[in-house]
Amino acid sequence: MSQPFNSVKEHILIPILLVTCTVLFITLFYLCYEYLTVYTNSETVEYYLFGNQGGREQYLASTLFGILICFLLLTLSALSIKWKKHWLFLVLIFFNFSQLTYLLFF
Amino acid sequence: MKTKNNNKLWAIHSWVGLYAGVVIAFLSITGAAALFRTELDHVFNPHLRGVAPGNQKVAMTPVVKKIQAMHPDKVLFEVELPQNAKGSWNIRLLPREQKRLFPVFWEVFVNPYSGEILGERNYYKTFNYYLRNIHVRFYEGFFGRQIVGIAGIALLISTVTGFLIYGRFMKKQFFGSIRKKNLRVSQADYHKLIGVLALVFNLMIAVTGAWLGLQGYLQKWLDIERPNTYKLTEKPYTKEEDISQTFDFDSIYHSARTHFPQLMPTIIRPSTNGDGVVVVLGDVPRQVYERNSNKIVLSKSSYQPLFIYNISNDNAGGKLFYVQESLHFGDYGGLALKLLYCLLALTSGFLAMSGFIVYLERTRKKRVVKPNFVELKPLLIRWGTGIIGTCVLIGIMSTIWGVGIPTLVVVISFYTFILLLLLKYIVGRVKGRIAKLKNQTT
Repeated sequence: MSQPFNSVKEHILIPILLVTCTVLFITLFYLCYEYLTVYTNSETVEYYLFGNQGGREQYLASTLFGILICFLLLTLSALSIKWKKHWLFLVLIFFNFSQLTYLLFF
Repeated sequence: MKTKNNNKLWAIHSWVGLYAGVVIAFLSITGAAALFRTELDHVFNPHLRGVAPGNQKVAMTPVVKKIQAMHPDKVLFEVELPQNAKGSWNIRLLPREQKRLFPVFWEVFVNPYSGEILGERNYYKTFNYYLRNIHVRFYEGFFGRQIVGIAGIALLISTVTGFLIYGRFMKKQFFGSIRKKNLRVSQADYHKLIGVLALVFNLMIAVTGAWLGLQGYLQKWLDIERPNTYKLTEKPYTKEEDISQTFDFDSIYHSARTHFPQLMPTIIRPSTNGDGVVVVLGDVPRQVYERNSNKIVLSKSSYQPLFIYNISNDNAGGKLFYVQESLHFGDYGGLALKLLYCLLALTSGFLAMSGFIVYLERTRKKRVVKPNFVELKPLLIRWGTGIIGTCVLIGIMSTIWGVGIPTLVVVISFYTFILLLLLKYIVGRVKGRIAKLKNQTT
């Protein structure tokens, strides 16, 4: 059965969710690049000062965690556009923003 | 009131799209290509860029001295260092007297493990330079960069107004649905879908593009200096003394590494203006900032640090300054991110083209009665061929003669075109006025 048309969902929530998804998608690529650089490129890694992140292994672990979170949020966002659940849009917009804010400032 | 505002927004959106659409499409295509200019340079010139990794690198100073002796008419500008074990040294020189029409930026590539010279070239004649210059200033020598900046503002206006009227034009249509009623409707649906999907990317490209294009003037007007500027109030040497002062490149490199351990040095640039310093530029891992903008300035005589600039330690203003170029060119996430950028960059070109098709189809009834009416397909072929042909022609001229001749050709053609448009407008106005006066008298 087709869902009734909801302009808030179609014209506001989906575009906002897509905005966060684009940024998250670019972030995912950046995190994968960082992970692969630190994992494989010893020439570059000598310049990394991991500081309070506790060394190469911990940095790799935290980057991998970031990658998985981004991937999960992107998958859920894509599914939410298919399912069109109002509450799911709001939850994902909140989590996408939170994840981006965390990656940007922490 | 809401409908009236929407109409105004729609009018702005279509007016900006119509007049700046061609420039936006041109910048979209050239920008997508310019993303890969470094990678393409490596692909086209493997004999210059690639070497077999060895165990021990030779001393840099004797190599630089040998090259300087080979080019007494040129002054050493900088040495570019490779980012991995398979890269060559790129020693760059500038002529003592630059010719305006045939400028030179000489590059000498050296194998760091043997000291062998791999080849030489004028950077201004390379495909790499062509890709950058066609996008950044389309070979317009005076205001090219500013025109590109204004196109960035046009893209910004177009994106914002497009988003604001999105809801009105979607009416009761579900997100992602494409109607196949006719060409105008299907193109309009694709226009809206792609516009929303790439909304934030186009906004970012528009803002950073506008800043980068107008940066020179904005910095002057707003009194903004590059945050990594190192200035001496008094020059300790004359220019000639500074140029002839010798130093050891390897000691400079090691001093930079000791005093700024996070810095991955990419460029060693000795001063030629009397400062008596050597600037080492480079990147700090994990930073999403402009390449070669972290800096350490060392004394040419003692190799002691005089100034260290790490973007991560700067305030928000400095960070904002250096995030513009990297965000615009996407060079912080490797080749995969560049491919994603390329795909997203082409969306603004698609939006300009689909918007143009929608406009032409919408005004078809009005236009079809006019004597100069052209069908959609030949019109698109004409514009497409025009854009690609211009790029190819400039590319051929640039790789044969360097930057001077194509710039001259572009400047003459561009301003003649503007002048002709202006003349056509004035003649049209005068004719209209005369016809009106004649009607009044009769």
